[in-house]
Amino acid sequence: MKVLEVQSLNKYYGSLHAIQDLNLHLESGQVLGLLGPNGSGKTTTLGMLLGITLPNSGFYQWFDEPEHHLARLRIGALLETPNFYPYLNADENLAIIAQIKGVQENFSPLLDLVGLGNRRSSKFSTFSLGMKQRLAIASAMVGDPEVLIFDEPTNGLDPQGIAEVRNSIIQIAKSGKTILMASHMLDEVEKVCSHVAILKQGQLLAQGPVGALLGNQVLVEISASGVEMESFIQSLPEVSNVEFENGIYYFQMPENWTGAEINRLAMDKGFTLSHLQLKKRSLESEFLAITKDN
Amino acid sequence: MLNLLKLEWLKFKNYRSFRVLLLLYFTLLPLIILLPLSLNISSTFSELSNVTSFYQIPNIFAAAGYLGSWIVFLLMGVLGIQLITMEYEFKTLRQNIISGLSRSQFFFGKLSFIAAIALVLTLYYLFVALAIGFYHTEAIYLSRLTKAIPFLFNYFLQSIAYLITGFLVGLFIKRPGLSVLLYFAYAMFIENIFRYIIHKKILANESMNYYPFNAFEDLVPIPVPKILEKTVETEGYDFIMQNSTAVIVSLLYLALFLFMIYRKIKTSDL
Repeated sequence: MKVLEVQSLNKYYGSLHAIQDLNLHLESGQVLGLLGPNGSGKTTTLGMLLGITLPNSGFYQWFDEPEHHLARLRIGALLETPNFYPYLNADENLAIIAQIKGVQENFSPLLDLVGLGNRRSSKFSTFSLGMKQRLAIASAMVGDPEVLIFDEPTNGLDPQGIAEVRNSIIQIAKSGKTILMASHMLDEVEKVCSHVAILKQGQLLAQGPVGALLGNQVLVEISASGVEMESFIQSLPEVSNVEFENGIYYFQMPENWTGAEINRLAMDKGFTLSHLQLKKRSLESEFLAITKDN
Repeated sequence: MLNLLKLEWLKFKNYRSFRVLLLLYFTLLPLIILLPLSLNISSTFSELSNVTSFYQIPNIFAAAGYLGSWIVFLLMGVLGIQLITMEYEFKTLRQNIISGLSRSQFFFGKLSFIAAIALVLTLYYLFVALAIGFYHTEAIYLSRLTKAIPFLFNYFLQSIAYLITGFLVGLFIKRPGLSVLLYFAYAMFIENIFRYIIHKKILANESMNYYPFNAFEDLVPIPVPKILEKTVETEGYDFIMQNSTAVIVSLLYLALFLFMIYRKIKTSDL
């Protein structure tokens, strides 16, 4: 089921074209990592999808819900720093979120989950950075949202905190929730995400399954209608990481293969490929260039 | 709308400035109304020859309204500023929207909260005026009590006006201290410089009264007719607007301010 559709989204800050014709899609159950260096437009993108940054042009829609704010009621998000009313305690801050979401619930299980059960009556201003972050994760879960959005969720945490947050996200993903997560760390995305979209200077370089996009080999995309593609792909030598999505097969092959050779093998089997694309080392080297910037 | 009002209440019921400003209002209103009595003001101003008559029903509604309007001006402008700068300071406007509030809902929530505050201020004014009035009046007639109604309306409108003007300043300036400074600098100096030094030199007629704070002030004017008549004698026109004019000019400014607030909330990146 489609959860999010983004078409040609653009955002300008003065003369800076911060987001350029962005297209994205998110399916139910995916954990999509939005990967890119600082300043590549990740937070701007999430800000637009959450209604706080207004796009200059383009279209996005959550859950086929035309009213963005009604869609946001079904989303839990943690964007940059946790924002709460510092003079209110943990319970009262969650009550404000629940009031907005129109839900009534007992926050004890949530606060226990993030280890704040015994501090629920303490004012937010007395919390440490880690506790603030954990309250933010709890607040994102208020109302049991279908989709969770995290922006650099492990930023500023110590190694143990990083591991805890990553494990929580993996646990949340296992419970069937759809997750959109921005990160500038390749290994974080590889560990946590099922899919990845790579962003650089406001442009989407690629989107697809993690295994297919971030491997060392050449990525092949093929499709053809009405034929046994699976067995054809398996018949190719040294094929790995076969994935199927939206009518397209993604798989990896050693770099020395060319499109012509694959096409010839398909012709030999007696069918024509309707789609054939090889992404040679370009994506990999793009990605290395991105990560070098950090 | 009730849900939006409840949301604002959850945010502000424990907010110190909110509590302090309302508490100051509740304390200062009866004090400032009773102040002229204790000052023996009649000997200084011949116009106020019989000061106790101001404390009888229905005169008390005009006197208490005028004196109270100073407290409202001083305290509620600041509260109006706090209602929005607080959300910027803690980035909670952003968080409210992310959590699923629409920008229109945010606007209408604030507006209904402002109306609720103005209603509380007005009901308290009525309560204080009645209490002091009953004490100083020997015979109470219903016909005299109903004279309070136009004052209640004007007092309510004036409270809304100061709250919304403060809100407007806070929304555009974002920083509370600077907003408070600008609010008072404009109300007490800048507008008067425009009126008396610039406008009056160019156009010496009633149009010099049509400024926002002057209009809000004239909703509940000083209840001393002799002082009012003096300017008509010397200048040929009144420095204080007719009540109906003050109401219309105030409503027009409020419509403009609300439009600016709505537009700003609807169209800015948060």
